[in-house]
Amino acid sequence: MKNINVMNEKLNLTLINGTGYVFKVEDYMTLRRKHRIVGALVGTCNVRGWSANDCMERGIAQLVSKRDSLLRVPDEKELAEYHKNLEVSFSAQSETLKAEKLRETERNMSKILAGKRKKLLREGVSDAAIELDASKILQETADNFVFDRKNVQLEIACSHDQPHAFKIVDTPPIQSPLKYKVFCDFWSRGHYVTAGDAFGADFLLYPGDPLQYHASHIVILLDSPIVQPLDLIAKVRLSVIVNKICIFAYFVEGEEKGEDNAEREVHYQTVQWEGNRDRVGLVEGPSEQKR
Amino acid sequence: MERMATNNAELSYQSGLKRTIAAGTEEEELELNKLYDYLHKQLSISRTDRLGGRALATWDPNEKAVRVLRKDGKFGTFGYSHGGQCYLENFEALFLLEMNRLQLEYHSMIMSVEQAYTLLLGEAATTKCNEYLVYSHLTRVGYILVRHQNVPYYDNIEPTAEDCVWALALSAINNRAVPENLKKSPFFAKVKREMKVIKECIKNQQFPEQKQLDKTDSGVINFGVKVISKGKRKILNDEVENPTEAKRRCLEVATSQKSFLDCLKDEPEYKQFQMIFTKFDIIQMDDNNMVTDDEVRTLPITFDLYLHNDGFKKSTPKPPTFRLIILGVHEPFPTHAEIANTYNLQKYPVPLLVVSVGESKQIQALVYYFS
Repeated sequence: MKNINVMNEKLNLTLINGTGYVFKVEDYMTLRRKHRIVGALVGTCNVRGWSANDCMERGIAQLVSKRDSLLRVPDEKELAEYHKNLEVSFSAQSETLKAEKLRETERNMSKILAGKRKKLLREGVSDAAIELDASKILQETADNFVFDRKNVQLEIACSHDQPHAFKIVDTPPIQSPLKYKVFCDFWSRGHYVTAGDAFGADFLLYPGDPLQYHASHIVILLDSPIVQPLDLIAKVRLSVIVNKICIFAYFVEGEEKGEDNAEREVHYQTVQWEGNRDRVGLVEGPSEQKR
Repeated sequence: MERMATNNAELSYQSGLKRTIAAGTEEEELELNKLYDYLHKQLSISRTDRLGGRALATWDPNEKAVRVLRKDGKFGTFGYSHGGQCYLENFEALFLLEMNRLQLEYHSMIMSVEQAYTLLLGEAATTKCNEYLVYSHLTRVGYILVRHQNVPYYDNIEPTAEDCVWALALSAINNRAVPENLKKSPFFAKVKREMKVIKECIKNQQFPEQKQLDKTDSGVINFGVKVISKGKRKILNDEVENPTEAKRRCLEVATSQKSFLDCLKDEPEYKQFQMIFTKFDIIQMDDNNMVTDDEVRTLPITFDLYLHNDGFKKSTPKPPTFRLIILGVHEPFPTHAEIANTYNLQKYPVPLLVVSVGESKQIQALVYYFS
């Protein structure tokens, strides 16, 4: 296993649909910025659920099951406390609103006084008899303040805010050892690696964050080193059209399949269009290098 | 999506929003930070609304479904009734929750999105997640999706005897279900009986009572009367009487026609068969090769899709525009047999939309039309 920087505290990936999801924005940004894991955003634009490609953040994160803690039925005491807290937050909102309203009244006091005076004069009260007291008006406002509970602002949290327990689960078994090995390889070389199904490939390699850069390579996994001519032409033409360099990856044949598939070597074959040589130059990097 | 200030002068072949070469300059660093900040902001938009501003629903542990307590806004396309209460499908509830139109409660505690995902989609790897992905994407675009119901839709037109014949023929050949309204039609029973009688006739080679008919009458198909070819006897007689005539005739045939067999086309027997066959409608049978069960998947239909401006009413729905089959990651597209199978199982056939979910959670959809 390659050396991955182990964080002091591992990030939690919630187990949903057999893979890991991230709900906290900060966690996702850390994963993306620090560890070059991009993943796929699911849900509406404000959902931060993200399912990991091939789930390989062994050193960085752990897969946790939250079902027991998030879905257990709360007992009476918990419910009572929960509702009490909720009511407290509601009344806090009410208090804040009241305070704000009073402050506003104070700010506009001169205008209010002038308005009231005019009204009384219109009603026929003599000037001398008008008694307007700012503090009394404030008191009135405070007394007449009615807070409609319906108007309380309530936020639905994305990641579960209340402290809750989690249970560490094993990572799911790797379905494709070649895929995992290739992913690890390119990731440790510093690329950003994402799913390539938008281009009919297995992986896409980026020189930097996908937000900022176009993909530089497409990686296609082969079951054996033998490739049919028509397939080769199809894939290579595709890569030329989308301006990316095509890499074929496969396990070396002839080696015995040991107990641990990670012992098998992966070979890469890079294909580049000669017409691009002036622009891009000779391909360097993962071409014909065995790792 | 993200807007960037690009310096077109510096990079000669950059014309889009993104860069192609990572040069590690400070400028790139600043750009990246700006992009990250924007992304962070986008992802952090909170779901806040008035307590009374959203619809309210709760998880019913007995029914294992989401029960609606208070509706808000246009609920015409969501929910179903059960036991006098209004319930929401899991994917509908999750969608409304994510769009900030629903407040979901779990034992009177307000659920977070994380909780809702765990509850409604589950921890095990199932098709529910893919279904939800497709549902939320298409609903946000504007289509109306409901859970699939294999319902026969009644037309107001009275079916004719011909419709009955076709329905019965298709059910025998293609295994297509006979529509309910045809079964109730007065023609149906009669047509079914007649078809059965004719089938028996053909199988047993029994012929109905022979009627006295002119042999040259081409209006009636009568297998009972054997056409006796007098032509042959004629030639024999001729040959006996006039051998040179016959030889000349043969020569004529040889020079004018391509093969001797073609002269048979002049025979009345041939002509009669020709007339008979032109009256038939030839229907091509499916391939009778038996396909083993494990080769053919049964593809379940998940959703019925309706167009938004088509006047969709949940209580009296019209036939859907498409029906959706959802394929998971790396699941191969359906074969001819599989898609034909699924199509024929529909009581009211509509075109099928096959949606494939990719590894990057993007979806690709293909429409299958059947003639």
